[in-house]
Amino acid sequence: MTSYIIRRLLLIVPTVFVALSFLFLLFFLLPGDPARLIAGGAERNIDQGVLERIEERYGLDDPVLVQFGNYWKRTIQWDLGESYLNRRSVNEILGDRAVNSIRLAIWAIIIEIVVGISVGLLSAIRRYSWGDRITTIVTAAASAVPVFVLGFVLQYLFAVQPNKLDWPEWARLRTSGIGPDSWTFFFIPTGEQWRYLILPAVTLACVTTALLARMTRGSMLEVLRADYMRTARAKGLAERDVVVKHGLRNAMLPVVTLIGIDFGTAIGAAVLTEFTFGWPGLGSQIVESVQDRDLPVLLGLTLAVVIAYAVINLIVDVSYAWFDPRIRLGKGEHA
Amino acid sequence: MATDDRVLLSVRNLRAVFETDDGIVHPVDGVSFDVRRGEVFGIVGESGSGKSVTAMTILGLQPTLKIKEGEILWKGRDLLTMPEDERRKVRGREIAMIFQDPLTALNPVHTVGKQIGEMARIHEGLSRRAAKERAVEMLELVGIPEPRKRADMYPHEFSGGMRQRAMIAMAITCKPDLLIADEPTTALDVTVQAQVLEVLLAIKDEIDSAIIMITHDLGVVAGMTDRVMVMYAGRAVETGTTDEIFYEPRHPYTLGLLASLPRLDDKGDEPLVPIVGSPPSLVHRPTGCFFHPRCRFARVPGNCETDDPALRLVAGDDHMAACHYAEELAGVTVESLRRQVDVTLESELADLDEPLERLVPDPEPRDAAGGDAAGETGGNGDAVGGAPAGPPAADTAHDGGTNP
Repeated sequence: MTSYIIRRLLLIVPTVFVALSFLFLLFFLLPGDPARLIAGGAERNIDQGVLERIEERYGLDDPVLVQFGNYWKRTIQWDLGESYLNRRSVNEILGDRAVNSIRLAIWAIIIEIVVGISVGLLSAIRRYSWGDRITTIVTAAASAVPVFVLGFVLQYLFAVQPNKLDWPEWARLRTSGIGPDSWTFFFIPTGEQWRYLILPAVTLACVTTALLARMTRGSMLEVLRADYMRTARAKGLAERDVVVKHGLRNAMLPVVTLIGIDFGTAIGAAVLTEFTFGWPGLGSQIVESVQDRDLPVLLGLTLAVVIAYAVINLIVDVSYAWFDPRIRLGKGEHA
Repeated sequence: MATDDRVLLSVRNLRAVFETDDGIVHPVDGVSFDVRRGEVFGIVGESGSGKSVTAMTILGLQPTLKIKEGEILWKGRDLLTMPEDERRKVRGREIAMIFQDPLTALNPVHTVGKQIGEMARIHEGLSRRAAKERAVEMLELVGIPEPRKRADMYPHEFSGGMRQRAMIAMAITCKPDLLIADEPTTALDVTVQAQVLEVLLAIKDEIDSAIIMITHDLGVVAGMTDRVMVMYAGRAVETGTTDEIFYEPRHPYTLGLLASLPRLDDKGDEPLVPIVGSPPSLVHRPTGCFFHPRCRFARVPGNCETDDPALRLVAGDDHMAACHYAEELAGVTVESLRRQVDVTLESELADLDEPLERLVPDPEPRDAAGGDAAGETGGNGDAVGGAPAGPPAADTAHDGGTNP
């Protein structure tokens, strides 16, 4: 098992290298001059001498391949440089943005797991009931709704309307930004914070919740027919225990993959949701960096996202071993 | 059938149906039998004869099955009208089941020890630790070496024979009064079969329970059972002691099953005697006697084609058969049947006795009466059985179709 994990961790290195090299080289194909940006903006009339000094200072006058080499030298020491735009250290920006992304992702995943899996299970157990039929329709629709449409609808229903109708202050949800209050245990909102959190979390969770519900339903239906479920009933277990103790873990095998992949996506690629709700996370920052030609920020944040994604995938693969003892990794003595 | 205080289970006129898109299927159609404490009761029949469904119905494990009539008396109480939570206490604790394929019947994500111990946790409220100890004890009882280590292993780490022993260990954990074994040795090879059956019999004596042995393997029946019920198309066609069934069969189907067995003392040039055709469709069943389209002795045209024979006492105290001509079969032995077929093949029909005149079936009216099922695959010699001391005859068909 340990050697498997080490092998997998080493595989992250080429993944990161290819992803970042591609981004780095792509950047030089884009129009726009970073030196001008550093000096205060593309529209301003800037003295040629100033531009030259800036290029020299940031190494922008070196050949691309030299810049490329220097970049990797610094990156290996986890020196991600500073923003062209405002001279802030990229490590600092990354820290600020990542915690917000992780908080949002955690809540999205909690909603997905709690709602998606329980709806899927109920649907499977009460197959062909009205609840099941409605679930099938609603989940099909929910998995097809674009994030920005859902985001605007939720903003209208839970923030704009309550304001118009003069609902009590606590019942009006926030449509944008992040609240001033702090968090306990890293991710539990305090004070007003939950009013900012709830809409983006629901929006981010929506599509995956629907997919999880459908997947859980299908997987559970298959498991319910299995011989070992009949054995469990023949033992005299109550139906609820048959489903929970014998069915659930078997049915969760395909579902775990989806949750794992989605956690990676929710951290790094929640761009649309973060934009719609002005949530200061990694995704929205990455888009801004592209628009601003802010190469160090773009590369630094992408690096973090790629590593997070790879590590989460590894954790998912390893957790399989707990869910299904038949695939205990690297332990071949019993075949 | 006399009722006495040793009767544990009494199934009375059980009729149950599956409602499918193709029509109503009758997997169990008016079956009655008693099982007494300490005996091994065999239920024999081809795939799809209703034997497994009968067993599942006793435990209430067929959610899509509709019980039309009848009762299943367990120690005098009807299981079919018992509230679900009381019936659940009977399952596992008083009636336990051993399933056919122990690989799929054991849960792949729990250790064998946990699955065995769970039985004791449900019914005896044992702690996790005590249940584990019980599981180790049970594994030892069924002859699994290093039971403590094995208890922590998963089903996929066990061999086929060991899995079946683990299955037996699970079933006997609460010392049930009745064990239902549904083809317990079908998935095993012959040497392991014998070991598993031995374990089963030894345990029956140890915990003084009764066994219902469901099988298509006549070898298992001969070696283990005290009484036998032969099923065909959802009905009991013959019941009696094992000796009566094997040595004085009174139903042409039983006779056919026995005659289709290869025997160890065969020289090798004897023909095997197949039961022609295949089991009838359980949706569109034949008129009259369900077996008449395949019967070597059927009188067609005659009452075999028109009248449904009831199961009736034909000899001794308890030997019953559902054949209009059961008495006339008294003179027919398996040997004579095989000899007759042999002779027939050599076209020496002249010497045959009266009831065997119809030995060579006339295919024309037979096929017409046989209906859809027999018509499609007719004449392929589908037969069940296994030699008492030799390898079992092939039976590759699944219990599919009627047992979803």
